[in-house]
Amino acid sequence: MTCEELRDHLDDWVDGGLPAPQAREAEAHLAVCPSCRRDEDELRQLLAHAAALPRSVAPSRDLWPAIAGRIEREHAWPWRLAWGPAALAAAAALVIALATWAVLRPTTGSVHTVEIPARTGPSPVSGGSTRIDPVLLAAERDYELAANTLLAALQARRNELSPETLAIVEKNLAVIDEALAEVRRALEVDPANPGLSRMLVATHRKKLDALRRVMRLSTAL
Amino acid sequence: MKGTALTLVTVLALPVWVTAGGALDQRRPAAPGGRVTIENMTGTIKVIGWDKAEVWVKGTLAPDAELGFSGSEDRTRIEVEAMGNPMAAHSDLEVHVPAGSRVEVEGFQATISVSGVVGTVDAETVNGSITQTGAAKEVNLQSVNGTIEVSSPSGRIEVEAVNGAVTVTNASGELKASTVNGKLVVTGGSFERASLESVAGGVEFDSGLSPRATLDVETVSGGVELRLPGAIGADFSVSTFSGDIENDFGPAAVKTTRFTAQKELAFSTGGGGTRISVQTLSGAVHLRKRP
Repeated sequence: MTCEELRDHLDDWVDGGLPAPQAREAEAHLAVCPSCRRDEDELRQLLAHAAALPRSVAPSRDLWPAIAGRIEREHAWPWRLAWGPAALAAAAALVIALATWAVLRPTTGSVHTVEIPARTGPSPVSGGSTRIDPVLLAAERDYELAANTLLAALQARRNELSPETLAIVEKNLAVIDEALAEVRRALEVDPANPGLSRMLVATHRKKLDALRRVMRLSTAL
Repeated sequence: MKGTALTLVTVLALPVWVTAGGALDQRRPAAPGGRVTIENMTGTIKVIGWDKAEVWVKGTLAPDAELGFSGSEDRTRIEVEAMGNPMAAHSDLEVHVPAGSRVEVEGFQATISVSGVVGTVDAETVNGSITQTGAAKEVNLQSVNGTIEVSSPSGRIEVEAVNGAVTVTNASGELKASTVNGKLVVTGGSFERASLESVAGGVEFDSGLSPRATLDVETVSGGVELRLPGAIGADFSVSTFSGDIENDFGPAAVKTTRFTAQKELAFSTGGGGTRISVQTLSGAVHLRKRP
């Protein structure tokens, strides 16, 4: 089994759903490939974090199989989405878990006071009529929840971060929100376009990645 | 004998703390392929791979900071700990490590450079640039506000910036690079797989692709320019919702529907083989023949 094949089957391997012959091949490959072992460890950690989430903050897991399945069907080259729906759901859940932890973490110090938005961008998924697929809208709500939780956490730590850092975060969130709005406008015109759906999800993930990185490193200060 | 060995291990693992700032000059033995983790939240971190089985820390410590230097030969830990405001405790570290090390570097308001490391390099900062040079077999670099420059790694490369340009030069293997608001430029080298993503920044690709390689580019509003050999054997799939497509390789893009401005372009050259996919929302796409 090659690294590419292993990544394609990693979800099933971690879930224990890989047929025996392939499982043996995966096991043999993992025994000699540190890079794939690291992928496996990361995925197991994601799933463990997701499993440990309280129900009240867990995302709507049932939304993900539909959207991820649709995306995968439409995308000719599966290597870009080597992780399956379970991992996507776990990744979103992990972000929410980290954000929740960050909110609860006590903060100290008083250096600067800078206002950052409590939530970013216009809320695209609340109210009003839309032609966008309800499954996609529901996924957006999950991402919005996670992003706003992280933003609230950043708000709580704003006295510990430099104004420059917060200004940069704000500036780039604005760029991402503008991109999200642009993709949504396109989706209103062409709601069945799978490429646009995938672009919307990918852009949401970039937003969360950026917020999560700032939060994670700021906790090391 | 067992007790002596245990004592030796314990002594080797004991941390060395350097306090009160000033010049640094600390050494510890280190295994050729061991892990070296370095944390310096504010300042600079310069990592240099060398051929000695030793980690050497030089530089200048902030007046209100301590340097922790601990671990075993397999795992060395270097940590600058500020006693006051970490953002004000500017320390500059130069760390020599065995070239085959697994290096992990973390900063916040820190500029990071890594050279001569042929093992793996993980580096992350929020405010500051990251530069990696040398034939590292695995590279993972992430910055929120700062440029990232990667040169000559060969293996698995992951680079992610938010508000900064990403430049990858003379690399080979498997590349995954993304940025939100900066330009993403890949030149030289050759890839088996490359995935390039941007939100608003432009993407430029002027590198080699192996015969069965895949190149996947996606932006929202950033433009895309691919410079490829005129004789490339490739299957192209290009799509843009409202941008333009220019193609030096022949076929013109077609509108997929009269209701939107979406254009698509799918064609093969040289019998196909390499798979090239580009998707943008509003960014223009240029497929250029390399002179």
